[in-house]
Amino acid sequence: MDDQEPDSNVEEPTAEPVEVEAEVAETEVQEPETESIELADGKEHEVDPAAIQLKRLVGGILVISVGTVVLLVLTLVWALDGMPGWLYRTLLVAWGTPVVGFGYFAWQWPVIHHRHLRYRVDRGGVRIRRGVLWRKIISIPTTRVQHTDVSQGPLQRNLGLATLTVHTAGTEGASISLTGLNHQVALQLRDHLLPAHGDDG
Amino acid sequence: MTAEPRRLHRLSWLFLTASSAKGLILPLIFVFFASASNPFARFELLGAVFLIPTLISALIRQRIYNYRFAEDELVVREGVLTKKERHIPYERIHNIAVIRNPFHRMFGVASALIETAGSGKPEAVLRVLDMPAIAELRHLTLGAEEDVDPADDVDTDGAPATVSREQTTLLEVPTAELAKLGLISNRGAIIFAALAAFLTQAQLWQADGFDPEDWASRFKVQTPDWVTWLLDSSAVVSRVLLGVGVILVFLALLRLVSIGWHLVKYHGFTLVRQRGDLRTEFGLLTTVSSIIPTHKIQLVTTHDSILHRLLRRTSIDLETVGASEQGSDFEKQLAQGGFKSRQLLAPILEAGRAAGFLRQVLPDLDLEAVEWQPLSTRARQRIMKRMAIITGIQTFTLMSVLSVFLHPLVALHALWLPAVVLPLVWFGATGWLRYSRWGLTDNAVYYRSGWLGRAVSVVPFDKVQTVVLSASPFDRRKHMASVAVDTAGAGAMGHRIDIPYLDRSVAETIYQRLYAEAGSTEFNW
Repeated sequence: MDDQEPDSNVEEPTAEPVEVEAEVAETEVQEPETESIELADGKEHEVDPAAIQLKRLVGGILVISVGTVVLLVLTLVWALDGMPGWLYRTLLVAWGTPVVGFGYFAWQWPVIHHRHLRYRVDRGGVRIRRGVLWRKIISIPTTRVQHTDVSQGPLQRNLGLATLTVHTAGTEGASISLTGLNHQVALQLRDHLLPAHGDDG
Repeated sequence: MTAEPRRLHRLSWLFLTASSAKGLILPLIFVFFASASNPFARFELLGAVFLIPTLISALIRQRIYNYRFAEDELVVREGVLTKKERHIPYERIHNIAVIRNPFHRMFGVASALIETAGSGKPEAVLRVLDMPAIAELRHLTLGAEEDVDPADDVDTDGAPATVSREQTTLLEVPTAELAKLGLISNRGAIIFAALAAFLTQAQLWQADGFDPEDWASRFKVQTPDWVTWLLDSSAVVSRVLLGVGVILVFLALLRLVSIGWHLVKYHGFTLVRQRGDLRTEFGLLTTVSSIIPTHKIQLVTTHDSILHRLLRRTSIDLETVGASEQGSDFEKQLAQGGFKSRQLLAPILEAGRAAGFLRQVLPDLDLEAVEWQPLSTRARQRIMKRMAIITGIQTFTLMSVLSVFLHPLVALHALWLPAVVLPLVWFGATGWLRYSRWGLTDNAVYYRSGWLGRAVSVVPFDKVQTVVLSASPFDRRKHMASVAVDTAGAGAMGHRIDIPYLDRSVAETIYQRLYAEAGSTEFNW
């Protein structure tokens, strides 16, 4: 078991009941091969909770920057006598409501998103479950993995996160990304998914 | 294996120029029309300015272009300023399409398109080679993949169609069948649309000497009374007759165009098995011959439109790796049998022969061995409910609009909408669900669907890439889910394995099975 839970400042009650009806009654997989790491336990894992912070940060920056720009434009027009004072004050209220709304959304959404993002590794491959309203489970058999990438953006690097991208020969599923993994876990997963039959892929 | 570099045919410059000039034709036509009234326009000069550099560049390219057969790869060198050397491993080459139009045939040459997995565009285009060179190319590249030792196989004797032993003809499409295919296909509409678009663009209507009214009056003078009545009379009957007549003539014309197009395009369609692979060859003006390695087939689909079924025919096409990406290269699309992402296996076939034919071509796939399983019994209820809600909203909108702008009583006529649409939807949904089925055999997954037009698709387990189990909010409300299979080289259009309206438990069973089967088979390019 390698998903540590730093649980630093996640206010969200993590023990939210996970929708059981969406649970996939998957047949338990046989014991892992000898060289397989404990990662391939056939159980569902959440990604690193630090990913919530990252998403909140990005969402917050977006809301604040867009909000600021709109506010600046409004004030500028008002200051240049482009609109009467009462309209400006009305628009300020009208501006505040969506900013607060989107701000709340940017705060809450990452938690919801995180709750619905799971991955499961077994000897046969990896399965990624995601989606809040439209849910899907994407399964990638190890035999179909062409190659894998682990990438880290600057913000991700600060939080020790990484994105694992699995490439297959498919079309729609030509590259499947799993973001918010702990960097170490991502590296282990990559090693696990490396084509076992040599380096011809 | 021989390693000395080979050159293109000595007349290649002709075809290289032609191919580059193709891109210039449209601009030139545009210039022609734009400046038609300009007395100072010098078209011969303009043409020379465009053509001479093209010609020179073609001559240089012909001198520089070469290719050689290395131990296990084909090395293609090209480039005038920037030298390019491309190494194409034989095992990655999945098709060598050969294209011959009447000019090619006049000089006994052809263009060879080397197609590999992965990219939509041909890896290299050898424009042009003579027929022995093409035979050699095919032997040394595609032949190298088989157990057959390529060394004892180099018996190039010039004739394009001559292929080594073990060649069995699987399908030959007679001309009468092609005419039926033209009747079935809606290709005529597409050609007509393209033609109409071109004519409106070129504004030929306005060309001098064409005055529709003048023509009409001249026409009327020498025509019998009934035509005059039809054209002149303002009687409703004549209007309706004229309208229906024009539409009928137009439709007949479209079908005729379509039949003609198919007769030319697929003339002499043959499918042969050649050393384990499949080879198709067709075309009257432009001969296209294409090799489909059997193990590179990702998905096979049979199509039965309503016209197919009236004529008791079916069409079969397939997807191979790399053969996707619409709009890539014109010649490549030609090689694939038209403007679509799929290759034809059988353009037209007696419906009763389909299963047997497929078994013969691809012994692993058997449409008759499938135990077809239905979709969820609650699917129709869901379709009806959704359509009822949509139609309800539409009716309500229509009623509001009518009562505001006309009269509330007129608005009652909006009720015709649900009265007509909902029974149709019910019939459609019932028919669709009666036909739509899925099936798993020990080596492939099958899905068929359709109501008036039907399709059956097969993907062998070893071609399954990823498996996706998905559920929309509506699915979840009803404890349903759908299962989709991703394959290599899947085009944007077309029937595929994407099974909707499954009971959740059934969906999970299919999903688990596919995941396990894909995981226990190897995928080879």
